[in-house]
This record gives sequence, structure tokens and C-alpha cells, in this order.
Amino acid sequence: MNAHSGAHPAAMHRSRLCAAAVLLTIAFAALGWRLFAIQVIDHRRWLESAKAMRRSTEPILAYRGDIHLADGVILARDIVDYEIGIDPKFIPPDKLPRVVTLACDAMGKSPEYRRERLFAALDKKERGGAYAPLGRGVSEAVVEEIRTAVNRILGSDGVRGFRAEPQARRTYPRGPFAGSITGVTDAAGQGIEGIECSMEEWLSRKNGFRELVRDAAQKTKIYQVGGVHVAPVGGQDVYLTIDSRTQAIVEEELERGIRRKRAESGLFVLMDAHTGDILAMASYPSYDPDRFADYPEAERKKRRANRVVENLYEPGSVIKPFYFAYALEKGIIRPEDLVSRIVPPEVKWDGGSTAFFGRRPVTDVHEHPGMTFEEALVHSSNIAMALLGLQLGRPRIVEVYDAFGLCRPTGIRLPAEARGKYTSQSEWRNLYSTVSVSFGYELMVSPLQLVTAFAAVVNGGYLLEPRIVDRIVRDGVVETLPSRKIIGRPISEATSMRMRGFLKRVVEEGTARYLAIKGFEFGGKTGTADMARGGYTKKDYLASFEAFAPFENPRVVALCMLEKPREGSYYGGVAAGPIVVEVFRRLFHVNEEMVLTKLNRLAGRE
Amino acid sequence: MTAAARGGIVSFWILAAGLAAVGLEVENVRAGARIRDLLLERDARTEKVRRLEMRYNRMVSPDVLEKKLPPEMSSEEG
Repeated sequence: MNAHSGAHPAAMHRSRLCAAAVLLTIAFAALGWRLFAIQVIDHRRWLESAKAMRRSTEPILAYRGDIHLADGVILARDIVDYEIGIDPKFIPPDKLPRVVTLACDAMGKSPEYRRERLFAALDKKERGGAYAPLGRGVSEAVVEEIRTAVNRILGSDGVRGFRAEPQARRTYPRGPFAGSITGVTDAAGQGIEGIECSMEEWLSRKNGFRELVRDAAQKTKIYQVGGVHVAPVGGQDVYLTIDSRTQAIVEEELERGIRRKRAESGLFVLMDAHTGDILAMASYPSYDPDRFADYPEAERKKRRANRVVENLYEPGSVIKPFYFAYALEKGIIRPEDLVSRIVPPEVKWDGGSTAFFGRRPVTDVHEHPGMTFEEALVHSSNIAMALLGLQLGRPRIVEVYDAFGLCRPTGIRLPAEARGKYTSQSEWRNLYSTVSVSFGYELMVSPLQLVTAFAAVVNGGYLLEPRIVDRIVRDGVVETLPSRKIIGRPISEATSMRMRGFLKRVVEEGTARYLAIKGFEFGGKTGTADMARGGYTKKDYLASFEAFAPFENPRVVALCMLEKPREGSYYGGVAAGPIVVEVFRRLFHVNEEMVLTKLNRLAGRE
Repeated sequence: MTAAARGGIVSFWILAAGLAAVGLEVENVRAGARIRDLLLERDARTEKVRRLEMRYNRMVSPDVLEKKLPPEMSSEEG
């Protein structure tokens, strides 16, 4: 070792070691500080950032509640299918057309659709967009088919390039069956018509989600025990009071009747006379909820309304039993009294088929000399009812409406229920209006109000709230809605019993005599109203028939209305009556031979 | 016990603890992936059952049966 080389080697080594130690200490201190900053000072920020990189959420689909008929038939149910799309970032430009073509072909789309989607995807790629949708409502099998093919084209990028998001879609497996009752949802899954709309609160759903962790390659998604997991809240299943077999019969017969009479539209409602439960309700033309969006605007407008609930009509003679029952109940008339007993001085009537109320002529179809009030109802005499109307006067006429629930909503769980109206006190032209309302003009009522009131006439006098939702079910817990909700008692049992007898005579010998069925007794009332179109044209008629069956203990009440029948007779007993009779015949299993030959001829079966 | 031996034992335990931690993490990932698969499978089965219910419901509902009633109980068209 050279003693003259300067510093002592050991001292030199020590100083180098010291320098290295200082440098290392500084380096480790810096590292330590950085670690401290990351782990302690900025811990939360870095943690969130790391979580965001790794974590994702996955929706958990909830099902909207089903709509069932009373016997379990499914009218509406959610099913899951997929919306598919691509992430153009992960697809090279040369492979993009192949992927889009493949997906569109697998979905069975047209060349125009394929071209449009391809341009949209290319546009997205140019603008750096992350998602280009290709189609909705794709089944799981098709999704898997596309996924496999895309993976083959794109290799490992296929997983990130192709996306399929499950989504719940509303389906109506019965198509147009009970369509106007079921209703429909909009694209967002919210009810806009029928039960779908009125029961939205119960049917609606809320999706849940679960937190997942992705691996470094972003391929595998891992469920994290203890991670956020929000359970979906499904809708509640709604069961209606409608019976599927009865509904099928009613729809079939109504459509047949409308075609036979070449009517513009029609409706039918069948109600349990003692509980107010709606057993069948049909409105024609109606719609297929699955195709609701496909109808042209004008067509959709024509089909969408549930005429039983939403439409208002001047009812014509089907209103007469209510005045009659009320007058009977209050002792204003006795059935055996002669109508001529109450002719006031301002009315000129010699017992013939025309009477003059002031200067206004009122006509009956036939002359009925020496007519009693009972006969007036059986033969639907306008003159007699106008005289009864004058006897009642406006206050008591309004009382009739109040007592029978006319011109006010019934409270049924269906949307857009019409209220109804009658001429106000200020517009009431004393003689004219009183005469008009007596045989069903100058007042607008909904068919549902009519059938509810008619049930009260024949069921012992109980006005019931019509019920269409029977029960609501969630996870096996059943909530049954109250049945037989009595909201009024317009007439007594005794009056009701007498009314049943008079209404049976209507079918046996009155305006509905063609409708009698041998061996099966029922009662009813016909109605034929001139439909106003700016004025009464005597061209467009509303043919109606309301009925109850069986006679001894009425189980059901029915109302059928045909708007503007064009073929043959437009009278209610001839146009609408046979439809009700056919429904009764099939409902109560009455043999066809028992239906009188004349009805067969009317029904076009001979 | 020499310092080397003590070092060896400590190293062994550190290694063992590290391996156990990695093993547990792998198991956690596997379990998480399996749980997710099972959840998806459950959803798929629920969907399948709902679709089958719907199909069966279409086939046996009373309005269809009405058309298969004995002749004396059914109408000419049903």
C-alpha cells in the first residue's frame, strides 16, 4: 500500500460508506415519505381510485308484477331479453363491418337496418364513442351465438368489444284477449292504459344492483362477499275478478254480433249481481297490447278506449227501469195504475201512439189504449215515461241519478273513468228537458254506471261498487280487496222483486220478446237511442240491451251496446239483445234448441 | 441457535404467511367468481321457469278448455 497516496484507504472507504449510507437514507426516507403520503395522508383518494379501477356494478333486474285473471290466466308478464351493442374502441376498423353484419344477421334484421347501424357504429368510432347499440329484445340464445362468433373474429378483445345488457320487457301472452282491460306500458315500462296504468303503484318494480370486482385484464367479474348488494324490488301480482272462460265467450259473441250488424263499435259488460265483481268486460274494436305502438295514430286512437268505463252515452230507454223503480219505491205510481190518470193539461194525448208535450210530439212504436204503468215499462212507452218524468219533476229526477249512482264515477280501478253529466238547472228547459231525460236523452252516463245501477234494481236494491281487482299478491302474501261494497240502497227488496217480474215480462211479451229462451227465465230492458252528431239525425243509433239472469236468483247482470248498427234492424232488442242471449246460453249451458227459432233467425244462424 | 438458523426460521414463516395470504386471495377470487356464476344461473333459471309457466298457462287456461267441452255443453263454434 502506498503511504504517499494521500488519505488513508480505510478512512476513504469509511467516507464512501458514509456517503452511500446518507444517499440510501435519503432515498429510503423519500420512499418512506411517499409511502406515508400514499398510505396515510392521501389514503382515501388512492383507495377510491384503486376501487374505481377494479370495481363495477351489475344491475339485478326486478320483474314488474304480473296481471292475472281470477282463474290464473296470465295477461301480462315481464320477461328478460337483451339489448346488444359494441364498444368500437376495442374493434379494429377493418373488423367493424363484419361484427355489425354478423350481429344484425343473427337478429334477422333487414339490410337497411344493418346499414344504418353500421354507419352509426363507424360514426361512434370516429368520435371516440364507447357504445353503439345494435338491437333490443334479443333472446339469450341469439346473444350467445353472436358472442361466440364475435370472440372468434376479435380474439381476446371480443369480451370487451361486445356487450349484452339484460333488460325486462313487458309481454302480453294472450295478445288482444282482454286487451282493453289489461292496458299497456310505455317504452320506459310505466303503465299508460288499463290495469297497467291504474295499478302502477302495485305493479311497478325497482332494479337492484351488486358490486363486482374486475381482474387486472378486466375480463372476469368477481362477486365480493360483504360488498354492496341492493336487492331488487319486484312488482306485486294483480289478480282480476274477470273469469277467462266468461271473458272469452263475451269477446267472441260481441265480435260476432258487431260483424253481423255491421256496427261501428260495441261493448259488453257482465257483472256479478250480488258482489259487483266484473266477470267480463269487452270493448270493440280493441287492441293487442303487444302491438300497441305499431298501430297508426288514428287507429290507435280508435282502439285504445275502454268504452265501458271511458265513454259516455245518452242511454235511451235502458234508463227507464230506474225512474220506474224509484217511483214505485216512493209510492208515486202503482204498476196497475192507468197512465192516462196523470196526464197534465199541457199534454195532449188521446191514448194513441203520439202525444204532444206542449208543441213537442212524443211517439211510441205501438198504440196502447188503456195502458198501465207496468205495461208502459214492458213495452217501453216513451209517452208514459215522459208523463212519469213530469210527475217526478227535476229535483226527484236528479234524486234518481244520485240514488242509482248515475253521473258520478263508480270508483272502479280503471283509468280515465268518465263521470257523466245531465242538463244543469240553468239550462233545464222545463217541459222539454223533463220529457227528454225521461226516455234517456239530455244525460250522459257510462255503461259501467248503467250496469251497476241495473244490478241494484234486481239484486234486492243494493248499489254496489264495481270491483275489477280481486287480490294483490307479493311473495305469496295475498291481500284480497273487499268484495260486495254497498254504497247505497235506492230501493227495497220488495220493489226489487217486483221490478224483476216486470223485466221478465219485457222478455216474455215486451220489446225483447224475441229473446226468450224456453226453460230459462231471465229479464231485461231494451234501449234504442238516436246518437247525436251535432243534432239528432235519425241515422246513427245506439242499440242497447241490459239483462239479468237467472230470473229466480239473479247471478249476473249484463249490458251490451252497439254503436251505429248498419245491417237490418237497429233496435236494441234485435241488434244487441241476441248477443246477451248467446252469452247467457253459453254461460248457463242452455241447449241451443231451447232458444226460440226467431232468435236463431235474428242471430243469423238460419 | 445460531443467527443464521434463527434467520432461516423467520424467513420460512414469512414465506409461509405470504403463500397463505396469496392462497387465500386466490380462493377469494375463485369463490367470488363462482358466487357470481351461481347468481347468474339462478336468474337464468328463474327466467326459464317464468317462461315455462307462461307457456303452460297458455296451453291449459279455461278459455282454451271451453273449446274442448262435450258437444252438449259447447256451442256450434266451440
